[in-house]
Amino acid sequence: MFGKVFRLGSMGLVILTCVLAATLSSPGIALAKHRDTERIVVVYCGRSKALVAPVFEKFTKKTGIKVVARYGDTAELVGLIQEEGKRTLADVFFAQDAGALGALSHKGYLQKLPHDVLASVDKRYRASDDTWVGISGRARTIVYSTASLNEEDVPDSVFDLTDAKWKGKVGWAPTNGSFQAFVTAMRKSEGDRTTATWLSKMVENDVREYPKNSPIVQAVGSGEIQLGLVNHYYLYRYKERDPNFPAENKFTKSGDPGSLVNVAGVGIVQGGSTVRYEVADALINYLLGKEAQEYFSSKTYEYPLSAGVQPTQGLRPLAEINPPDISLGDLNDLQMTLKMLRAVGAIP
Amino acid sequence: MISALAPARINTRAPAWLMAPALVGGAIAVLPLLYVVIRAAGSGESPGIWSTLAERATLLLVGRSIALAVLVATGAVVVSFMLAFCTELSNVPFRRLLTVLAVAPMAVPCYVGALAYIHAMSPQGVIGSAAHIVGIDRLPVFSGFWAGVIVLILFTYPFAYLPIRASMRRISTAQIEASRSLGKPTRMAVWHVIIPCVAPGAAVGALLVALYTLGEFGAVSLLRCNTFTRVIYLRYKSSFDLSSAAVLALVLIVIVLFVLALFEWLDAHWREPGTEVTNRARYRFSLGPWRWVGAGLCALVALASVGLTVGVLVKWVWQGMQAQLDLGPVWSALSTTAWVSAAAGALCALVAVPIALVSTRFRSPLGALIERFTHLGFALPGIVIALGMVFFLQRIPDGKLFRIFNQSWLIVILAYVVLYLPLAVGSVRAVLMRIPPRLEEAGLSLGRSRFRVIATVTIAMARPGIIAGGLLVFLTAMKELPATLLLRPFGTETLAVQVWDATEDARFAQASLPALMMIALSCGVVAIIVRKEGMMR
Repeated sequence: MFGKVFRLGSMGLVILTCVLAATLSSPGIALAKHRDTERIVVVYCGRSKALVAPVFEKFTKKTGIKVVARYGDTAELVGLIQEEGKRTLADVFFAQDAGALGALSHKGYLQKLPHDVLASVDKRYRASDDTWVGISGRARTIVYSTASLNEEDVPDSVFDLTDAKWKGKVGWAPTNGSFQAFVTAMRKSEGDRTTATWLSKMVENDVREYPKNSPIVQAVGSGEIQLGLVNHYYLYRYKERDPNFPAENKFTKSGDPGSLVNVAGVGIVQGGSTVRYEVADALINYLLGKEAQEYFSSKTYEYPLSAGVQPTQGLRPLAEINPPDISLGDLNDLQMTLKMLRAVGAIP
Repeated sequence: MISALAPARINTRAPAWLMAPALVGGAIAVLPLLYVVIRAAGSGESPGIWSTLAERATLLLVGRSIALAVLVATGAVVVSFMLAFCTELSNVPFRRLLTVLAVAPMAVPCYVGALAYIHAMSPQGVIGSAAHIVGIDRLPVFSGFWAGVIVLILFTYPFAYLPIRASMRRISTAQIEASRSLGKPTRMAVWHVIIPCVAPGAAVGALLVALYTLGEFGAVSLLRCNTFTRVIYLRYKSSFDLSSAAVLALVLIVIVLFVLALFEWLDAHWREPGTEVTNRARYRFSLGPWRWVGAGLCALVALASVGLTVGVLVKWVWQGMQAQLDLGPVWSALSTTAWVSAAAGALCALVAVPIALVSTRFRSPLGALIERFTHLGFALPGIVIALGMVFFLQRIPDGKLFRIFNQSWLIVILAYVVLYLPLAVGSVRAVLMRIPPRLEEAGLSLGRSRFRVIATVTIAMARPGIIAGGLLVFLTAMKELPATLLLRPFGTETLAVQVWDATEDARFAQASLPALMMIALSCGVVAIIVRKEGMMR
């Protein structure tokens, strides 16, 4: 009688004890204890682990500061930092795009960066209120098919893409984050009306839709389309596999929205002590240093943003690309962009 | 022969010692609702949220989500009925193997299944190349609404299969022969005995599948099947505004409550005949040569879900053999996944028992409300649950208690409980409804206290259902991704996290290792359960 109750109850008790025992020995308690005494920097990282972990390892080897990282989606990490509030464990936030950094900055979650860090990066690629800085750049470009076009034939402004001769020959990826950032940039520099008109004209001109950037480059290479709106580095990844890939990048003219340069960047999260600020600063300095910048450039073909570091061979120098005159942090205002895209039926 | 229509509910209020733990369980289950309401209340200043809600596109997506949920639930019930009939009520050969195969898709996360299907339908994949041989040059890209329906049916039907199977196992020869003795041919027994017995189980299963589909995000986004959850996610991504995203989550909760009310209404009309199972002999329809067709159909379903997925994963591992594949971290993730999911399963089973007892046995509107609210966590996207847990964690003042929860697996386990409690509650309720209260009343009349009666008689009889509920949570928690990503302690990974990490970089060979490990572990657990059941017979 009571045997059965005893057995079931004790089984439950044993299970719960195991659960508690295991959780009491969790890393979190250890982290909280050693935080301000040992040299640890906590990073919330929206970039992929495979890409960034080696950089963190090299940083630890060089400085002795241990890196504890949480990898995830940039937008979700922004939500996490907001919910964690003052007691967030994050020291550094490494975002995939500037919009996320701008959002956190506007809500007051980022601290001002030290002057030496800011000085090494062009002011177009960092926050105007000094709260975040870009680490590597992604330029928007028009990829064109070399099999059917010469460089002079390719328009040097995205506004020329609505021309009748490009009917059905242009590809875009409206659900892609980089494309949406580009449309937001167009709204900021040219205004909402012009942007809405351009979008509907492109749709009328039978622009072809693709889910992501890679399929667009693939389609240009196979001749399915002649022009595509993509980020600059996809082409190089294709050329790495096949040097004879029949496509090239063309950057649009100075100030055109089509040459937006978005950045992956970092900021220091509010609420830390001086020790934590120092280790965060050390990490950011490393990320802007030659070693890390060249690593990112060689791995992903993105543009290094630290002054004095050259991009990988074959990339058009960043100084020659003149992005539109907008504040990258403002690219967090995607609401209107999405509404416009939905209105023309580009996204569901 | 005792009256066949004895209800499972008795007409007394729930005792306090049972109500208290049920309320604790209910409090845990209602956390996401509280979070969403609190955050949504702060959305007054959020720009554009009300216009987004009123937009035609948003309303279309709501309709789409509901349509997806209804279609997937119906398809899952149909598939499950067919499979369960073959394995439980017929003389189809290889029944035990087919049972394991029938439950196997539970081991595969929907997004992995979606990835496998996208690959298989592409020109390099097995279906794509087969089509090429037949003469079809290029299959249409596998994406969109119907792709979502197919993939979700194939990988979520086990939620319906389990309750339907459990109901079918309870059908005894006595019932079939009673129907025969009334002059109905054996075939009609299907209509007069099987369907009424199975209907409540099918309803529970359909509800679970529908709710899961509403909150599912990974597979539908891969297949570009745009649902309302995607709108919620896009809102986080585009505005980084917690309040407006919470308003959208609130809309989802309203949809869920509506669906729950619908099922409540259906449930009331499909009162299961509570029979005293005196003759436990199982009846099996003799299908003759058709039994091989039955076996073939079951095998086909398994092939289309687990078979195809495992095939694609193995292919990727094979192709990636030249590159360096790291097995070390996969082993440590395996042990982490196993014990965290097991803890979640055990805790869920424990919390589910009082809730199930209160809502099934006693006349308690509060209990019914708690049971209804447990379903909310299941239907919400993982990111909302995760942020909700963080929100409440931050309300705990600094100190020992805070540090125990912060950055520990305990908060992940709690998130799993919030997410998967309805699975355990449903399982325990199903078994409780078949235990007539007369047995407890017999115990009471012999002078035992109600506590003792419930503890010794009811729970002992309900034990298979309790364990089944815990195991179901274990299998489902292993695959969880969005909440785990955000809440896990630093530097730790589960198998699902490793799969996601690798697929983000398109390193499919590296992603296949933890995915195969997940499937192997789940199939192993399922095989053990089925074997144990067979030995007990």
